Amino acid sequence: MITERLGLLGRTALVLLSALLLQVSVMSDLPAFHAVGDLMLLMAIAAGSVGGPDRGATYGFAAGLAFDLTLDTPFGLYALTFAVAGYLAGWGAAWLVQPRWWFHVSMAAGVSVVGVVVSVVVARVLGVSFKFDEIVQQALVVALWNAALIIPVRRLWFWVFGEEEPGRFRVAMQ
Amino acid sequence: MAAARPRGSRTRLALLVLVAVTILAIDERDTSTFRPVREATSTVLGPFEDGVERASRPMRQAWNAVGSDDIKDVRDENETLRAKVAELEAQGIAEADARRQLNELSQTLDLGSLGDIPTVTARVTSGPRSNLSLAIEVDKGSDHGLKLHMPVVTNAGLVGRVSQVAPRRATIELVTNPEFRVGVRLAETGELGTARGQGRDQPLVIDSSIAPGATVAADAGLVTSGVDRSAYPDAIPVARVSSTREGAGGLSLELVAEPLVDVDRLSYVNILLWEPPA
Repeated sequence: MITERLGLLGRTALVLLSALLLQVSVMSDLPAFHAVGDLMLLMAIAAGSVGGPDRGATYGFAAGLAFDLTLDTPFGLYALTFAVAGYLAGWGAAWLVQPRWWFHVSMAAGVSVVGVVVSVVVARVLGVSFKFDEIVQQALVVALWNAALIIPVRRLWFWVFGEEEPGRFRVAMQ
Repeated sequence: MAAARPRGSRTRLALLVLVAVTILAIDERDTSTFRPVREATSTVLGPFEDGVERASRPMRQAWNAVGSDDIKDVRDENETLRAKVAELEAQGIAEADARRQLNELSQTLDLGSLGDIPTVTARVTSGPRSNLSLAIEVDKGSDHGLKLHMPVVTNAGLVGRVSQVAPRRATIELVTNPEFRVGVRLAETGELGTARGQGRDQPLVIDSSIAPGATVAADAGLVTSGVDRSAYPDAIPVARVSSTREGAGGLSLELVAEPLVDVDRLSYVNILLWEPPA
């Protein structure tokens, strides 16, 4: 049991750290329409989509907190946003027993838009000035990236969770 | 596909949201609380970031080449720049003479100048890391003498200031950041104002003390004011006025100015090893 937990923790750390490095070193330098993709949000969505709402929230929170550590925006902003996004993704996926690939792609795009909007609104509440007219292009870019990458990233999370097929979701760390 | 009732604990989500909100509240109260953690993360991740950044450079360059304007635009821009260089060379002759006279006067009166401030040249390792961030990362840090709030410039003008320092990396808050403020003066007339960022690809707005009816020349240059206890040394070029409008309350003129530095296309920057007087 302890070995299993340690294995899960190690695989999670490896995946989140790799995603973080790719985000800050690669993705941040691949702008399109003055916006960049968001791999950490994708990690949260994929974790929820594979593991269900609880895992989505937990791993989303972890991904967001890791991202917050590398940014100059209010600390905790992305932890909050990605926890909600991960939960939503898990909640959405849990409505169906065996969703098809296009469902995951559509949901990744949809939850990404929600994630971007929530982060902007929370940032604005915290006093971070932001032009609202930029939301559309940012949400679009993030949604497209995440829709394109959701399938391989879901496989990554299956590996992390040590599961071979979707099946019914199990609640993590019960 | 078949429908299933979603299972999930709202308690866990509520707990995580509560933790996140608490962290946000602590950070909101004092932004320096989590700075050491962020700096430590930057120190630990730095070498790995460098490795990934180096390995992915060809791909990123290819992406940015595709994403940039087409070749014809680049050629046109090149032609325009060549003409500009010729013009500047001509101006340079006259300015060289003026500079020589200024240096003589400065030495006579024992006045310091921007050129006397030591600088550290740093490579920009990454642009804004998220869509809400208006900061860039550079490959020099406290080991190279960098400290918080030091001004960052290029030959074209002010880029921003150091907002976070790790031993071998630093974060630079850009001049376009809406939180950014810098005291400026009109280079020609000496009138003072405060410039503030307006966000990505947006001009700066300068709250001035100029009377609403006054005329400010189009293309008038703005430099740092360098007034007493200013956060920046005197005479760093900042922006060029593009338009004017009546300020809030109609009591003064508000200037709109384009930053001289294109902060989206930075490869190297100079950090002035200068700290504001206590």
